[in-house]
Amino acid sequence: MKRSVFIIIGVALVMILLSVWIYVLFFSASSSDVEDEQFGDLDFQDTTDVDYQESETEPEPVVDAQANQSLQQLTTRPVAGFAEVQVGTSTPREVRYMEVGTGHIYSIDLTTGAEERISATTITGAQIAKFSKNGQYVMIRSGFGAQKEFVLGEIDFASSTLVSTKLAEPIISFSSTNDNRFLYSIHTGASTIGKVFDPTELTNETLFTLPFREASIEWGSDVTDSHYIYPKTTRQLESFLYQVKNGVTTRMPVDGYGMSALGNDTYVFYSKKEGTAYRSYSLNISSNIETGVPLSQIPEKCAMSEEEFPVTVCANTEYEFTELLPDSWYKGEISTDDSLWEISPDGGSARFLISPSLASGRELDITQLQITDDKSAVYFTNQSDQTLWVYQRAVTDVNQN
Amino acid sequence: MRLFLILLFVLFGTTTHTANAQIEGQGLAPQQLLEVSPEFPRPGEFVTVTLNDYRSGTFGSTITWLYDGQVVEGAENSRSVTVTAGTVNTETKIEAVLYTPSGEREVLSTTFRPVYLDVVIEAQTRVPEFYLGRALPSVGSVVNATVLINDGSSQTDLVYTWQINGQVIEGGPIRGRNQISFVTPRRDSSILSVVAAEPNGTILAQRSILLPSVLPSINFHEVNSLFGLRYKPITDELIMIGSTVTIQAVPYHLDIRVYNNPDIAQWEINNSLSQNQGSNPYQITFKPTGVAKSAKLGFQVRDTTLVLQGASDNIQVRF
Repeated sequence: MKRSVFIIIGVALVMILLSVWIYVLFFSASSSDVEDEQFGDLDFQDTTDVDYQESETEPEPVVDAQANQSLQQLTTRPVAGFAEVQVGTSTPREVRYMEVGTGHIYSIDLTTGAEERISATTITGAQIAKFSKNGQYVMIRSGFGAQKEFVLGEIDFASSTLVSTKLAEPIISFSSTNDNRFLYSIHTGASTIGKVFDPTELTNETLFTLPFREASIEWGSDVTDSHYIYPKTTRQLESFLYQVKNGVTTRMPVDGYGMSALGNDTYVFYSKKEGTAYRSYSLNISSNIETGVPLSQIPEKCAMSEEEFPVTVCANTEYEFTELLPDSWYKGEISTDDSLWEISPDGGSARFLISPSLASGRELDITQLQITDDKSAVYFTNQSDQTLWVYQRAVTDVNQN
Repeated sequence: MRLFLILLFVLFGTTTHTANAQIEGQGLAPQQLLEVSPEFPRPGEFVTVTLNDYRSGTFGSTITWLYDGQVVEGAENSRSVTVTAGTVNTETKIEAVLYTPSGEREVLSTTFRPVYLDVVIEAQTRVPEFYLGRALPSVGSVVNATVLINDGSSQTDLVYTWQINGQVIEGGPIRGRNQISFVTPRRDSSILSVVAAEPNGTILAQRSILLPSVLPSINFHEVNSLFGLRYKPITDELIMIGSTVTIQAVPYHLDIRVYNNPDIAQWEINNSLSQNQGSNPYQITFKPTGVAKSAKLGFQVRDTTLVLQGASDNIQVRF
């Protein structure tokens, strides 16, 4: 074939292809169906999400308060502080809590399980909060380091806001009392001063002064209750327990390396290092009798009620090694899978209550335990994610006390 | 004659006095024959009293121990007895009654009065805010020591003598000041001693404690801009979920002066110095680039004058 014939056929083919392209470009249908057919049809069913409807307000979570479970997770938000309150005799019991970071306050109705935000006022960087017994006031620590601030808030239910007052003193630790006041401590040059603050009058009064700064304070539930103070705990230095009651400081017969404690007017529960081990004891103050407590309990993971024969509940892990306790737990360096145990008033025996990992499948690092006034429930937070949980003590348990 | 009599008196009188002195010097006072350990017990503390009488005259004696006049059961003929110290500032009397083979009776006794002497150690080193424990001394850091005495009285003018590793601090005894400051010596541990005495010189109590000196250390924590520092430290490696992560190096037991004004505070990524530093030298915002799937993230803080006053560590970040 001649070379010219090849050229003619090639030009003709190019012209045909150009014509087809121009036709498709300007005259073909542009429906998505046609476009879709150009890709693989994998024969999925209708994937349009018909259930999801975006709303501007977040739906309020509901805690299943009717569920017959002794252990319940109450929040998914991290909790800076919480309290069970009952505003009036006819009103249902509720749990109020403050969210870490935002400072928003929520209320969970313990009868219906409904959760409601009762303060939308943002306290940026809220870290620790303590509610007054009636739930009206809350003392808050927010921020870190030099930006740390302390605020007293009063909940305004009508406007869902928090009326806040900045506190000028450099507060170290604080707690609330049964009569809706706050106990707190501050540092001076070389001492620790304990005070009581009345949020209604905005007045304070000094309770005690101790000549060292590095103090851990276990506050009582009332100004007149026993408050226990000791130099902060470490396995490498000795600590000594002091009781402050009605302005009188008494050295308790409790000391030791790695010692920390909690107590009420009749009993002191403490743990300390003994050789390479870590052991727990209960001291009957009036008889001065000390009893060894089963298992190694970290007192910061325990709560004690205020009665003469108190209910003491501790969170305990079967620690593989105890020779680094409690320092390793303070640093967050040990993994924990806590169970709840109830210690007898004299400390001589411990009764297993529940294993959250068996009951819920979650391994918890339990802290901030609070026993309710009627001993029917134990609230606590999980250190790892700061969520709030509650354990309902069995009726028989309550009757025993 | 009168002069002769005076000379006789001086001569014999002096001789007699010297003889008495020699007799006392040869033996020990009765209370010195009983050794109390600890010498200044706390209330309720176990106290061991040991008979250190090895005089030939008491060889073969039977021994009966008395605790405040009551016979200590089971301690017959023991050379030591362990008793419990009483309550604060109550005197306890321990007696050892010896009957020699020749039938002579001798009573040795000692007393002790328990007081609480607590030494509170406060190191001026840094630990994070969430840490419930106490900061420990590290080499070169300042330590404040406070004595708290509970002897049932309200004495405030006691005289304190402090020693560290046998060296007296503050140049000698100081009256009324129960707090001192000193620099942590260059050794793993030191012995800090304090003696509390009444102004007339009577020793009320004394205590010696082992003062640790630890090496500063670093933990790494994730930081959330809203919630703050994550409580659990990153142990060996961090698996990133988002595109960036903020990590904070948290020193433990680092001298506060070094923490606030470090000579060296630097981050390293795969052993290369990182320039990604904001206003807080202890924080870094880490954003992976390139094709690598992990990086070694290290941090060190150090004082260049006292090189042991510092710490460094690293973690693996996977992304």
